[in-house]
Amino acid sequence: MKRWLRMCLETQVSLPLFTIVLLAVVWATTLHFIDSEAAASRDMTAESASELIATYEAQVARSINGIEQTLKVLKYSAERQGALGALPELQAHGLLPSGLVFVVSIVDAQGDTVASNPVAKPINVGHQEYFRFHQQHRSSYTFISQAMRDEANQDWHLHFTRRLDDKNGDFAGVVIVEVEPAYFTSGYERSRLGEQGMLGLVGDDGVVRALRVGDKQSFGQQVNLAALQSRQGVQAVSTLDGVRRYTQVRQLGGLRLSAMVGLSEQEQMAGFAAQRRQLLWEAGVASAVLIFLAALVWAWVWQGAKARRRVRRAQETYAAASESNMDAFFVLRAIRNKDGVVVDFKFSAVNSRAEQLTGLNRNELRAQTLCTWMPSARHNGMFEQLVTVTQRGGVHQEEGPNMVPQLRAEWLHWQVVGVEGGVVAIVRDITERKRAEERIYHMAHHDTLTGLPNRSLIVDRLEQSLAHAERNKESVLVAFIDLDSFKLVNDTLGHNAGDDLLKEVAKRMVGCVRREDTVGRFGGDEFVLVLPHVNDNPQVLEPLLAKILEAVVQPVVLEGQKVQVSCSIGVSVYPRDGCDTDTLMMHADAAMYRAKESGKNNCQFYTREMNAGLEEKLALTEGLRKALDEQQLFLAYQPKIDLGTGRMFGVEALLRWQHPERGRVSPAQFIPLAEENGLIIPIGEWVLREACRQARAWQDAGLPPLSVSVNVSARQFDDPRLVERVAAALASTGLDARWLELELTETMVMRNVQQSIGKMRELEAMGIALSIDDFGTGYSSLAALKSFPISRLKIDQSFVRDLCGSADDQAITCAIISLSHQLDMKVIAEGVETEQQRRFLHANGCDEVQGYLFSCPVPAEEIAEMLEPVQ
Amino acid sequence: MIRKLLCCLMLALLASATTAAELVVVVSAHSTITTLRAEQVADIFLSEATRFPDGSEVVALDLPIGSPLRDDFYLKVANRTPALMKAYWTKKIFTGRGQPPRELPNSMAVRKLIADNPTLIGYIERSALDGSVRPVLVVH
Repeated sequence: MKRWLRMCLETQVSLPLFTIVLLAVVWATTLHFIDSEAAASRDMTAESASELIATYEAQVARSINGIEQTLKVLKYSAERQGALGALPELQAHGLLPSGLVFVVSIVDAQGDTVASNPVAKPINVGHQEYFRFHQQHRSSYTFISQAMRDEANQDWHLHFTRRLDDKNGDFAGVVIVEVEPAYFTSGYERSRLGEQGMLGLVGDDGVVRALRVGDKQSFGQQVNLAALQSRQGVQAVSTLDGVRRYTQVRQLGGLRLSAMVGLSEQEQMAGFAAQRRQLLWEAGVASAVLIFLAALVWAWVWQGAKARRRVRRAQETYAAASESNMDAFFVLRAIRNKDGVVVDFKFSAVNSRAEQLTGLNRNELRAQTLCTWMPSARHNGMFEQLVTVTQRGGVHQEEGPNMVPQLRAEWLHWQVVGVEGGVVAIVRDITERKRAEERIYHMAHHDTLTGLPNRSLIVDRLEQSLAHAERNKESVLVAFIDLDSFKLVNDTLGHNAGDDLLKEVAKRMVGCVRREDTVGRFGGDEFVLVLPHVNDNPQVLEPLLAKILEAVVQPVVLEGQKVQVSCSIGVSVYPRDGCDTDTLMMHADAAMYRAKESGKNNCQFYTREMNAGLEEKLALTEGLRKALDEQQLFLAYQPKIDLGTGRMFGVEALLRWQHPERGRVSPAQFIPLAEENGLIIPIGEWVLREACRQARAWQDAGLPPLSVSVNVSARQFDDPRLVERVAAALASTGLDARWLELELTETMVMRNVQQSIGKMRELEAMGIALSIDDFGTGYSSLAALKSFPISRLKIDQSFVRDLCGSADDQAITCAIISLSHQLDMKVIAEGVETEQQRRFLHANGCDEVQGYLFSCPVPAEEIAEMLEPVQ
Repeated sequence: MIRKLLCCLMLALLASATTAAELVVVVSAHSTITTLRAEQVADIFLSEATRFPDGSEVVALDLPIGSPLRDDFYLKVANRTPALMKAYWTKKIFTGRGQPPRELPNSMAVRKLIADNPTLIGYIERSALDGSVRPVLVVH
């Protein structure tokens, strides 16, 4: 209710309401006025009709009275003077009515006209109604006939007739006064009756004797007199012409005749209608003007309200936005001296964030000026800056470390916006962001484990050093350092130990270098040194590098164990070995590999040949990729001989590479390469399939079945899908599993004993035979060996080679033979080249041999040939 | 404009047709009236005026209905055809505002009656004019 009341009081609502009320009043008044005018107009018309009928009745009565008088005079004269003498007598005395209007005539008892004035053609009227009426009725009644025409008078006439009597009172004829019907309506006045008014005489028989509407004269119509009389003074549609009229009818005394007056409603009300139109028009115009003015005022008020609302909303929005904002808002009003120069600023509004930032509440802030609160503003350029923005407007922003103790933040972002009469300073505490940025920067450029610069920072530093060296004609050394046995530490002592080792080594290296040098970590166990400011002789830094070698080799205690690692260092020198970072690093890397190759724990400076070796390696790797696709690889088979029977019982499949340009490439050269880049997996799988296929092909050719053994590389063995792949190779070639033997090495099996046993059991379960290759050269746990499902040990050829000259090798060989027999395994010696060796092995119980003594590795076809003679 | 021209043409024709029977409006030679304008004459004959301009009573005398002289007179003096004259008098009589002038058979009878009575006025053929009456308007 209250809400409604309040709404109504608002101009934008009350104004239309008021306008509507005003319009209602205007229209109610107008319509009421029109109503009363209509009533008045109707009353006036009715009254006018009454007046007219009175006048008309009097006129008609007098006229008929005059006619009757004439008839009486005629009758008197005719009865006295005779029909012929009557008219001249009356004429002489001026007693005849004007011949212009009236025709008087005398008819004898036979109906012949005897005399008439004006003179007319004599006719017989014996058949006429009036004649017969008078003939039959002995009365002095004036008969009023209907309008008619006869030969004597071609115009339509009403006949007023009276009976003539002779002395005896018998019928002697008729006296007639004829008059045109129009005579009775000649009193029609347009000024009073209008164009559609009506004057008329109606007989009691309902036949119209005379009628005039406007200029139109008529007679003879039949009307319902009773109905007309009953509707006196009321407007009704006339049956004569369909016009609505106010009709008055008055019976004429002593005559069977009624006078009738009609006033057309339309004409009589025309004045009213015009007035009504005028009033409606005026009211309409007034309404339109009113609405227009109201609309104007309303629009104006609405604009005002809208503007106020907008301002209020803007203020609320600002308040809400500034209050909830993470930025501190200071609205500063400039304080000017009388010359208009800004001398200070006053805090006119601040938000809660500003309170937090300053540690003062807003009342305390408002009580102060900028410079009293922060005197340093005058000296540190802040005040000047604010004055500039105040005068020039615009936006000024900057960010930087906080210089004033009044604000509680380390880093601030300032945005100063000029407004009317001052500035708004929006201050954001960006300390967190800055710290995060620093952290991110550090993270992006440093190794998380050791805190040393990472690759990208090292490259940066190196580039800077190179630029500096170029200007100063100096040299820069880039050293790649790789820990030699890091992988072993990681594998045996775990990754945490590995990490600790890296940290310790990093610390030691940092301890060895000069202040301007950079020690970085590239990832894994690779470290990089950038050693700038070196004069033409780079060798001067050799002591430094030696110090590093020495420092690294010092034992480290990890997980309670003393561990000793060494490192290999490769060095390239700017500008001698290259001018850009990529080249220098690549060359340092090559030198480092050379150091590794040269027995580790040493330092190598880059030389040109190293680069050649590297390129060779790259070319071979590329060639190897193609080799598999272009079928440059093939298998050779070396027979394995049972010493007891002297027969070939199986073959070892050996991979060969026929390079299209280089010819045969040594497996010792390309297999480590394939191991390094992972190509060994697809190559290994191909070897497996090809060997199986060949074994099956021999069998299919009707040759005695041969066991075929295939070497498995470390990477292949680590492949979790190894068993699956072997099964697939057997299935696709259709070779029975018992004819396949896989040769593993001690090292690969010992790396993860549990996993290896699982894998080997699975393979054994399939029926595949497993053997240990190169036995005696690697690291073996005899305990583990016992639990392996191994069927055969292969004595490494290094022991067999010097079998005849070395007592040690003989002892080892005998030990292996004895060990395998103890563990229920067969033993095979490889690399048997002489008869002496064969004899020794046979004598000491070795089961099987292979070697050049019997056959070098040969293509598959030759194996088939070797087998055939046996059959 | 065309109507005006037609009127002029008709008047001219009528004038030429009735040159032989020129009309004069006459009063008694004893009357003080010497001349009347056509409108004044028309008013008297149409019963609009019952007195001469000098204030003395006047009664008009007419010729019989249908006589050419009468039709000519009203046409020229009152500018009304016989039909209009009939309508005029019909209304006059009905509303009781007047009666048409008394009719006399011919110019001679009119002249005779007027000669002795200065209140009378009539119209006669010019040829019937003599000293007993005074023409006050010649109708062409």
